[in-house]
Amino acid sequence: MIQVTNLWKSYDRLVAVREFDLEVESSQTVGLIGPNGSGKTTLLRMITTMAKPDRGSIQVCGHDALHDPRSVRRKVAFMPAEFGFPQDASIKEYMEFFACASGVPRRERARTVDEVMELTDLKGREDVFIRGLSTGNKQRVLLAKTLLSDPEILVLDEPSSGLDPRARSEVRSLLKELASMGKTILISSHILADIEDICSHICIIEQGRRVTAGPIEGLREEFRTAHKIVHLKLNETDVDEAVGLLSQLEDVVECEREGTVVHLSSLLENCNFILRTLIEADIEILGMSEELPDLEDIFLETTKGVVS
Amino acid sequence: MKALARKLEILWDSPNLLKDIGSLLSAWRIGAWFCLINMVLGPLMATMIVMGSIENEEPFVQISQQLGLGQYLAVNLMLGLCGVLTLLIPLRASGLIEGPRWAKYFDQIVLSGISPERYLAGRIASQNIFFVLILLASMPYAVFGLSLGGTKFSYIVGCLFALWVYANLLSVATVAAGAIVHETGAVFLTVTLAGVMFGLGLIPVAVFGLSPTHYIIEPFHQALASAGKLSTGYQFVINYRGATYQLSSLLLFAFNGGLLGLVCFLFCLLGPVNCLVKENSTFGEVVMPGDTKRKRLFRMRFILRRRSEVAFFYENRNPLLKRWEIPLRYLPICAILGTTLLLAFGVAHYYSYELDLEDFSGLNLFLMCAGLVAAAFTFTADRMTETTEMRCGRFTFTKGALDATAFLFFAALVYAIGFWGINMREAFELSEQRSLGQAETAWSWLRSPPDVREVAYVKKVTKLCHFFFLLGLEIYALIRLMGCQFWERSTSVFVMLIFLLALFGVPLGGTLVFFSHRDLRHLAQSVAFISVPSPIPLIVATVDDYVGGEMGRLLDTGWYRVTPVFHSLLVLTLAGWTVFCHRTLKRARSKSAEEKS
Repeated sequence: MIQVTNLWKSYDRLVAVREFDLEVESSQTVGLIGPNGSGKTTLLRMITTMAKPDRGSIQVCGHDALHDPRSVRRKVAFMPAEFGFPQDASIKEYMEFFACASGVPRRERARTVDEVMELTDLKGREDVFIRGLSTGNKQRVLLAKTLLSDPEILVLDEPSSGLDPRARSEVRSLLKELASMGKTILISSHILADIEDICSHICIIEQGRRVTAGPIEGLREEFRTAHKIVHLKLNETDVDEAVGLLSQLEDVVECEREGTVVHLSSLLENCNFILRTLIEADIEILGMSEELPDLEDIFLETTKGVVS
Repeated sequence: MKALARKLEILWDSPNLLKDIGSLLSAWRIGAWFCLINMVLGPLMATMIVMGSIENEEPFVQISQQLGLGQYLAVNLMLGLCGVLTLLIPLRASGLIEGPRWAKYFDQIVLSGISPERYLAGRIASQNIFFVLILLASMPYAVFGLSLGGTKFSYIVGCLFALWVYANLLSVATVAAGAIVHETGAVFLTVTLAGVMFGLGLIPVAVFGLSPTHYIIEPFHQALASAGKLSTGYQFVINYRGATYQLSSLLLFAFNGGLLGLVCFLFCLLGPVNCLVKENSTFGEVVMPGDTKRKRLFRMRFILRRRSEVAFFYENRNPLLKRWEIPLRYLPICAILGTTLLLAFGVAHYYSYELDLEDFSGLNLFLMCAGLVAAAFTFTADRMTETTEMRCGRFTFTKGALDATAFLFFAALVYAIGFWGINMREAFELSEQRSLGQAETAWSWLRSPPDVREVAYVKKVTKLCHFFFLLGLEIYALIRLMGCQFWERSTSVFVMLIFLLALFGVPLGGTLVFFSHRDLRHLAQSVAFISVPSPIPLIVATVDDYVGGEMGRLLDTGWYRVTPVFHSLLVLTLAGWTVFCHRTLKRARSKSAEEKS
């Protein structure tokens, strides 16, 4: 659906995006993460034809974004992080304006606006003026507008920024619902928990360069630490004995007690040896969990925190 | 038929139309508009009634007595409405009052993929609703006028038609100008031009078919003509093979207005010359989000930012328009400029033998200068567009090259017509001189026979004609040179004017100081040549044969050989420098793109 090849973009002497490659398949939800000033917004604006690259190509649904922006704009909907609104319009007027502008047929316009407002929980607030809305609700209106033309691709630039936890959760559910409807979504955000929750794939960008990209699960495996971290829940009476036994094991690097939980890091591929040792010593294991690297770990691992 | 209906659908299925109807048809706004329009029309009508009723010899009394008070008031009402439309329609069509503007959320509009014609057609179409609102607001005066009797129904219908055409012409002209310059500038431009046309239409001379006022005020002219106070010159009359045909001023205006409206709409479709300039960085290649936080950015190079954003918007236009941009853009401009010049010269030459030699020469030179200046200002580029490429089918040319070609064509045309006019006059003067004292010529009843002095005068004017052509080239080379340096055309024009003032005025002023001070006068002759760059002494020498004293002697001793040589050299230098700057700019742009790559 989106194919970005060797993309470059600079503002005067500042290179915002360099040698950037990205491929987004149909119905994928891809999260774009990176530090501030890493070139995320510039990249999204180039994909949505709102900025011209210096070099490289962008193909969206088979159309060249540089030479045929008109066709790309019909396929893509973009929700920018910074936006303006008409001061004198109600939500419904605003939606109707953009439904008409997006080319929704006249006969279907009222129904489409209704459906989108229903989907974004704006139903019942049609006559409220946009200027009086909170930031969260303005973002909701903008998202609703984005959905009007039933785009194949949704490009969202920090859709959850400035929202309270409840609104964030609502936006998250909405995006998940859209993803389940088969929309291709490219989303940039600083809120890694949201990305982890919504996206199937991520792409990390720093100083305009692609650092890493791929399915989240695959990256987790890739960035799993050499020391496997295991948490064991035991009976209080067994904890000291278990710590003593596990500390003597050759492959256990570290073993700590925290109440009835034992945290240990091991050099082994699996936990069979640890479990066998405890079971042979007749220690009851109440619970066990293995710690996998989360998105934050991957992000911190891959980026250097350099702002371009 | 269906295809045509689909094309016309853009008029009523435009988001702007929907929004504008919504905003216009609110109770308080209707009330406000009614109050405003009545505040203008009420005093105007009252004044006209008083002026038409006071018993004395004023023309208004005569007109009202000739026409009847009902018709007299109808004419005034229509004129008042015409004035109201001239002011309010551009303001609304530009979006300066009510209506949506191109800011705040422009990126969202660009991304919606809406075509410019559909977006702008709504703005134009919505002015018709405003037009109806204005008519409704004027209903009390219309009813009052009708109740007095004497009002011609056909005249009212004709006026309403003319005003409708006028309202649409104003709105399409404002919107077209708004796509190229800032909204405020577009309003200023449209109101000024329409105001001038409005005023010219009131004059009882049958040459202004670009304003409805000529048709509206016709009953006044008729009344004055029947009272013997006006000749029949207000009518559009064509003499063809002995027969006389009277053209309807209403149809003439409708035709001209419609044609001009179509040209303006074509420019709405084409938009400004695409100016996505890599060298222009942030402003040239990005549509900024329409937030209100970036006020500083709005102030900084606002025009550039806006122009590039509008260029992004015009990427939504039909690709055919881009493919045939050169003929679509240049043919209408050339047609309008060419027709205007030919008409002006045609009228001047047609009536040339009714004018004195001095008057004709002055008029001919004035038209030549006006033509050269108009062509120079029309066919200029700025740094944004100098090397922008435009297409004609498979061929691509830079705007700079196209502008230079078009200017040279018009300069040659104007020069040829001006030169031909003067030479025709010279031939006539010579033939008159030969037949002096002999048989009566066809023109001798118009003017006194010429003498040797007049033939010499024609020769001088011919030389001035060459010199003005040279000055036209110089101004053009200069304006193009400045265009390569500045981002905006207005800045380059301003700098060019300062340069010309310095070149023409300062040396002359310096010389005059020597002439005016008694103590320095003995040096005057030796320093007078510092005023060589200024063409003013040359013009003075031509216009005034009696320039005496040392100045006169200087002028006679080959002044207008030295000045043209100086200016010829300057033209060559400027033209060479301009071509060099154009090439440097082109190279810099491609180098900048390569460096970024």
